[in-house]
Amino acid sequence: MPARSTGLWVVVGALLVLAAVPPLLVPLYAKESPTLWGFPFFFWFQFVLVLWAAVMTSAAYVLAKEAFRRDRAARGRNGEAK
Amino acid sequence: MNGVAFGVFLFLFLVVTVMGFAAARWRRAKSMANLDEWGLGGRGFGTFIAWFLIGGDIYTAYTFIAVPATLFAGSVTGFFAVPYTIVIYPMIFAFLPRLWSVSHRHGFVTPADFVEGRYGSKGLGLAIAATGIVATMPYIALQLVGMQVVLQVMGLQPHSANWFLKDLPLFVAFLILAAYTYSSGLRAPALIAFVKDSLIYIVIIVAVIYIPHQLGGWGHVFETVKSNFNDFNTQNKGAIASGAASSKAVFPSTGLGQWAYGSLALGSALALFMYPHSITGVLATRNRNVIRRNASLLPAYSFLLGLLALLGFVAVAAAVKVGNPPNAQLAIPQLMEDQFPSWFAGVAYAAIVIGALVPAAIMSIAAANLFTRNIYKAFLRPNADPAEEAKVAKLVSLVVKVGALVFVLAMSKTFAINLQLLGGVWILQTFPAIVAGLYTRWFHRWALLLGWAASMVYGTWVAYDTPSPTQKHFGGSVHNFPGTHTGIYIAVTAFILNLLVSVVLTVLFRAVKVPDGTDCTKRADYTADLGDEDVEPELTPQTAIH
Repeated sequence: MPARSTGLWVVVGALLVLAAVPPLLVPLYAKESPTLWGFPFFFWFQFVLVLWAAVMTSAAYVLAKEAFRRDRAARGRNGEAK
Repeated sequence: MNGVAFGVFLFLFLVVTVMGFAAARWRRAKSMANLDEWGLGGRGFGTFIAWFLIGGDIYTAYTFIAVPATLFAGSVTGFFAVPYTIVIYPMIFAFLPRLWSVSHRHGFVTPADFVEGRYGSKGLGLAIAATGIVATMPYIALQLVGMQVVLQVMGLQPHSANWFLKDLPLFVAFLILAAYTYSSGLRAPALIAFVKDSLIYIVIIVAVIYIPHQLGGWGHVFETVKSNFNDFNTQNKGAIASGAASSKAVFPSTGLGQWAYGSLALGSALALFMYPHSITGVLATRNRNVIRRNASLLPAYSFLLGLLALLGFVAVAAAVKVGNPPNAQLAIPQLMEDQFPSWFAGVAYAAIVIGALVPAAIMSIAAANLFTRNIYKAFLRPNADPAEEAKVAKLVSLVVKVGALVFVLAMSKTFAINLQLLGGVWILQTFPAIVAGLYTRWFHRWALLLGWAASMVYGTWVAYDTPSPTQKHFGGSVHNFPGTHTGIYIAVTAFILNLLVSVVLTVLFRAVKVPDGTDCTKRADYTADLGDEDVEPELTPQTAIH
């Protein structure tokens, strides 16, 4: 019987935190320079954050799928056996 | 009125009208006479359809009109829509699969169904349902405002003092929407969402490349906006100092502005998936994985949203005229009218109007589901069968739309975004009952109810008490945090109050042993997935005949 995947879930949680927290740290990016293709830092950095968050959640998705599969295998189909 | 633009617009509008009615036959089940079919589209949507459906929920006419309008008006705070739609996906990823599982096990159609089952309290369910309905109304109204400004720019608003004639095109569009929502249920917006998103993507991509190019590039746009805003700030120095005008800026340079920005992003993200219509979209998916996969795919929209928001600055650089008295919401449609060849302007108008129809349909369905399940069935007709539920929900979806129409005609349209933000203040107050309930039964049902009540009263009162340079009340969604001079999103302050009251009273009620309701869910329900006992691919698989 495979082990429960607590470790994987911790990584999933960490990836989600990494995706969600940076956009809330406004002072981090509320500045004008350096500009990129004419865009002030404030704007282009938030576009980078969108991509960053997409990568983090995608990685979390792959890991969560595996973790969920392992948990199910460990505890039986309907979760009765714990 | 431009004949070519109108012709293209009318053609696309007719296409989605036909699709809306035809949707009743799409992925057809033998009977539409129950809420799982009418209200959740058969609960069988896969990743592809769900992407459009949930995207259609989140990126609405609010996005297309109001967000760029705030940037156009000189308040960069409106750009919080970008961090807001970043933060939301990790949250969807974490919380909603659990709600999906427990809802499938127990046949819950609405978030209030879940709360009622989890806490054994119809009263708490009613509070959640009523909040959902009341918060959804202004959101639907906002979609109408979006349609209205487009119709106005197209010259489809007859110059008449008669209120009915003046908004006749809006009524017609709305009547058609109401008719196909009534007959096709959630399948209609799910199918139309394909067209909506394709049009929106084309229009935005063309707009962010073509228009700035016409104007000398993005760098030039930002330079023009900056000098324009600086001129404004210099000319209106006195008015800004006395609070009669707000200063304009291209990024939140002060600590105050940054608190407002961050708290709006966080509060709106927490609130969004408490809205009944987002939960409707999520519950309509086929399995848990669809939700998580979508959470990693949907950020593509946020990228587009950011570009779209910046069109507000492009409109400043293009010196778009927005009427007298000025109405910033005309900025985007007017920019398209001015810059695009007329046939493509027609495509753009259609994209915005259809972009309003899809969420308006989903929202009215969600509100109708809430009324039917958590007011009608819970209190008025406990013995209502599925067919009766579907019948009531269909009628209520009509009533909700009329209500939203009244909302639009009766209230000030100057800043539609504030309407939605007031709804956001309310809906966020259902968060503790729903999200905490997904993990723990520790909270006492009456403590949650009282926490909800306290925060609703507080949030509404503070919103009422917030002035702006142009309005005495409901002037904005940011208010000083108690005891400080730092303005943060009212919903967040009310939410903190809500949590405090709920925690303190839970401890108290548990200490004096106030009876707690029975919980009809069990632990394994929260991780159930397709293939488990009582979790069917479609709720009535043997009757599906597509």
